[in-house]
Amino acid sequence: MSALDWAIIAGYLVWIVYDGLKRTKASDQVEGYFLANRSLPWWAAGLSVMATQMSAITLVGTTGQAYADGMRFVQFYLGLPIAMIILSVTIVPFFYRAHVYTAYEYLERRFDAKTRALASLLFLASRSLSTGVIISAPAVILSIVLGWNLYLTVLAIGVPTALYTMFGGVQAVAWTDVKQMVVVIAGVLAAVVALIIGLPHDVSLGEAMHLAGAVGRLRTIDFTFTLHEQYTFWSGMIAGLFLMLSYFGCDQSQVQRYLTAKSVDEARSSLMISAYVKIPLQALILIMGVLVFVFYLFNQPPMLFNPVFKTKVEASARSAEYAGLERDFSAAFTDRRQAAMAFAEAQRGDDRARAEHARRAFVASEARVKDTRTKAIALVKDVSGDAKYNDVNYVFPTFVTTRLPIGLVGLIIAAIFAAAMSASAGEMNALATATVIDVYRRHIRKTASDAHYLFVSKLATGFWGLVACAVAIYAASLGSLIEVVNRFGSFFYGSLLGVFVLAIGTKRATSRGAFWGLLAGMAAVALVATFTTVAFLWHNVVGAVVVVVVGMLLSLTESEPVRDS
Amino acid sequence: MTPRGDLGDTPEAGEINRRGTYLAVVLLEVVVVAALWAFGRYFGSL
Repeated sequence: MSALDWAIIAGYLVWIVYDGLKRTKASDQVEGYFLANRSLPWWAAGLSVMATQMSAITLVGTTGQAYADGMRFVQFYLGLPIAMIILSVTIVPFFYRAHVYTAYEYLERRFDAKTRALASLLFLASRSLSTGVIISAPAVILSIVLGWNLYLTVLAIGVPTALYTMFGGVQAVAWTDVKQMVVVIAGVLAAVVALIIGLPHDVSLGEAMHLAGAVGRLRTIDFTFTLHEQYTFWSGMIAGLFLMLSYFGCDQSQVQRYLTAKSVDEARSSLMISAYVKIPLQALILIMGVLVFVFYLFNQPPMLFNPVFKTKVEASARSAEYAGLERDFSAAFTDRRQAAMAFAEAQRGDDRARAEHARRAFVASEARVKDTRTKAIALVKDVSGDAKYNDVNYVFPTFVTTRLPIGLVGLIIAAIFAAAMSASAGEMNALATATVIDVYRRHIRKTASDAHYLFVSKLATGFWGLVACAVAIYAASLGSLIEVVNRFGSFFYGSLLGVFVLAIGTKRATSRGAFWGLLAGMAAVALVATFTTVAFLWHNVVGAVVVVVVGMLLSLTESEPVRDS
Repeated sequence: MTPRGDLGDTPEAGEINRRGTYLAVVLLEVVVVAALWAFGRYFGSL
């Protein structure tokens, strides 16, 4: 990387930390520290919601997914706009008017202390691990692609984030989120423009899209109904709706973002930003991945995108086999490039038979490239013993660092940092809120001065920042931990949604029904995850439905709950 | 067994009816999904 790129990254880090720390004065009371005194405009709260949701893996991982597999991932978000409408009508006004700090505090008002404690502890366990993963995943990728020390990369993301979150509280989180979203969107737009400019002179954007479309990269909406496929129209619309309802409605890291808004209406408007923008923005990120694929049709890509594993294979006893595959890959790439040029040229004429012939030749040449890469990946798995080797997360950073001009590299690396920092700051802030409000102030020290709780809140934020960095370093050495964390999250999400449906959707549900319903929901998801091949998005539906059914059945065996007037 | 405290189920004065916004979100989603489907179909064929 050039000195200019380094300067851009350093400038970004200094600017964000300075901007976060200058919010310290506005966070001199607990309500200011955790809820910004309910003073934020809807657009700032809304951008903070988006920034917390969009981690670096969303930016880097889904771009790689589009490169390798196409744009199907966009269907994951199809339930989001409808979820935002449902939440604006239901959960948002209830939480806002109830003047709670945490979503789980609401559960004690409606049910009892043990339901609140269980939900809050599940949140703390799940989110403390996932915050580490949010930092770890981009840190590993950047350290490998840029040759940086892993510990330094983790600390470069985790320490500044913990610092401004600890001192500036939710104000710092929200206002830095706004700026970080601007950096991310600027980075994405700049990369898309650079990719379009980088097309060969005699290939138009339309022809490039036809090339991507011919090999399935633009297959976006799949109306097949199956419980075993992750990304279809129906899994996005139905199962994705349950996930989005749970994440944006019951996860403290999101609830806290819109509780900072000035009024119920502004809180609702903040969610509407995601409802309008999320799918088009995700589609743009995926198109960026497709354009990277088109770029590598005309410029030779590496056969393997993870250089660490490439070096391992080259140093192994099977290096000759690998060298042979490299030669096959180069030859297959040359054929594909010629076939791509021929297909692009054939599109310009009126001869449809010729165009169809050229398209088939191009599709066959792409299959040969893919086949050679598949053999190389199988070789890596054999040599390294890592059966889950997958390098799609390395595609975009490799492209950025090896193909983009000076200055743009720094901007996009800063955008990856911004995505990781904004997502982890929201999590650290929410973890500290649940720790202080649901645990410390509720169970350990029930009465103390505001200054005391503020001091403990800062300590809690610093503590979770340290935990996140420690988990990130540990997770980097244990790839499987990421899967464990994601799986644990899916046990929890749908079930928690079920509890809030019982709390807000029915007056008949009792605390006993809610508590045992929550445990039954998580057990049901564990069984489905262990003994079936149902895609994980559908686990959210299973969890929510089991909690509501078990919770209501148990509640009906008791006398009706009495409400305070 | 007895719920405690404010459950936030009473609307505050001046809350805006947002039916129009919600309808706009649904319509936009229909348009975006149709556009993505058409985009894939158009560029996936000759």
